[in-house]
Amino acid sequence: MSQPEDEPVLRTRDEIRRASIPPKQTELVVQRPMPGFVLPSDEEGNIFRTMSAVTAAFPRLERGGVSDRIAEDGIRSLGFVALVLAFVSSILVYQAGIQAARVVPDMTTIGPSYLEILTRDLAATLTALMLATRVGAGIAAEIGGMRVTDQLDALRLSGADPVVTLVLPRVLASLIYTPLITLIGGAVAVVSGVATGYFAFEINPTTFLDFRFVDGVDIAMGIVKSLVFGAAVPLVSSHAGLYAEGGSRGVGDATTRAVVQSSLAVIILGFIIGAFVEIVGGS
Amino acid sequence: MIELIGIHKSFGEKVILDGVDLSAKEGEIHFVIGTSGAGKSVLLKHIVGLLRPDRGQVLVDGVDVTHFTEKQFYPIRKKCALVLQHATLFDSMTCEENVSLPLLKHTDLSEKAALARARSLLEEVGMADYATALPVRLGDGMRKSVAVARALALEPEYMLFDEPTTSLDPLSARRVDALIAELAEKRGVGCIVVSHDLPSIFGIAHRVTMLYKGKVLASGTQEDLLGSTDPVVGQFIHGKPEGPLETT
Repeated sequence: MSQPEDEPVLRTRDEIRRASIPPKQTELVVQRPMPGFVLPSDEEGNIFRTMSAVTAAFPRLERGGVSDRIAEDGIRSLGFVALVLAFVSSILVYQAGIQAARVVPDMTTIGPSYLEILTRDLAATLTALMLATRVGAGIAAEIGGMRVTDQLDALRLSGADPVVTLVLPRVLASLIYTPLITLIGGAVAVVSGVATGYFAFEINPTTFLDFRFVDGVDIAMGIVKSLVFGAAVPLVSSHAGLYAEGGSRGVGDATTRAVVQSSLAVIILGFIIGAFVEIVGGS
Repeated sequence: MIELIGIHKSFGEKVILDGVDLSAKEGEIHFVIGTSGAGKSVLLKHIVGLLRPDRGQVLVDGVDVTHFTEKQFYPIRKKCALVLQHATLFDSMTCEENVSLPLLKHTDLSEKAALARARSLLEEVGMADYATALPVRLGDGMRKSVAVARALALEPEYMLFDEPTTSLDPLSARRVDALIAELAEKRGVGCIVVSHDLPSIFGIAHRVTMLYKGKVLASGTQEDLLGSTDPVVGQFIHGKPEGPLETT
């Protein structure tokens, strides 16, 4: 402590005002527009309420938050996601090659079929599932930790909306980095598939890299899925954190819930988008 | 004046507050005491809208804020600052950034001016040397001092302290007591202090209210409390392990 114990530690309100604030700024008047939707409260929360809060918070986005989250959540996940996609792709191509060799010993359709599946589903789904484990768990643990240590209440007391400060930047950042990581991870998966095809079954890379099965609908489906998953993972994970209860065990529960529920959301939403496109597009 | 009238609050089946009345006026230090789980912290959170009562009324300077929206509560939180039990500082921010946060959110001060004001407030609580330190580097007492500085940032008319001396060494605890006493005497701030700390209670309290089983068991001055013939009050203030007092 810099002040001796026997000296008064506080000055009067006027003394502080004179000492620390320029004359034109002496009035500490509330001038900012007031937020209209703040979570969490003691009311029961549900994911739709959190989604509404995030939507309502959109106009109050603070600068800097999104770029920080892209660096922290997105860029740091890239290596992990790329590695997983590389190995899973290799396993898939290898298994497909073995099955194909048993039925029709024609390896020329493995590449085109693999590229189609990768484009329309595999890259987006695997990327999102990996982000659910890495980023989703982190989001739930951080926000849940803040919840159980009253830091969310402290934010509200300081005039900050936890949704604007913590959730919105994560959702927007994820909407940006999830498609980009999907693209990079997909490229890595292509390289891995080509290498596996060549070394395991002697498939010529030119033969493997045949995009004849990939059409505009496949590309659109891949993009839509990565965007929807990009929104779903941080939303579900933030929701789990915002309503964590009961100390460190509560944070653990919230983290588990975040990973399980965001993984399920990815799988179910992927199914719904796929089914919708099949029914409407008839592809 | 802060007035809580007939506050009822339950979490599920568990009744926490069962018709509690409490008030605090400017310049007064009102201690709320009771065993753990008696609902003291829950009561404080009702004043600033972090919790809403099932029944009852919360009045701040005569205005009924019971059914205020989150948006309407912002000016109330500017007027009534709550220092939470665990000195909840934001770990990723330095001490001066923690203190400047309410200024940036509630006022039109520039970042530079808000940080200057934050450093001045840290000096007031004897933490100027730690302005650029991260909270993880600080001990409990220091963290509480920074939390008090943050609560003072918006020059509140009332301050609510949730166990401000818990986990502090005796010297730091008495320093916090002195800070609360000076807030009340020099600035006329009305303070409601939730505490178990008997030296604090019998050091600086103007009024003391004891909660027990969700109700007000006793309320009065330090002398009234000491003179109480209620066996539960007697057991609590003398810290006797044996007696009629039931803990939750």
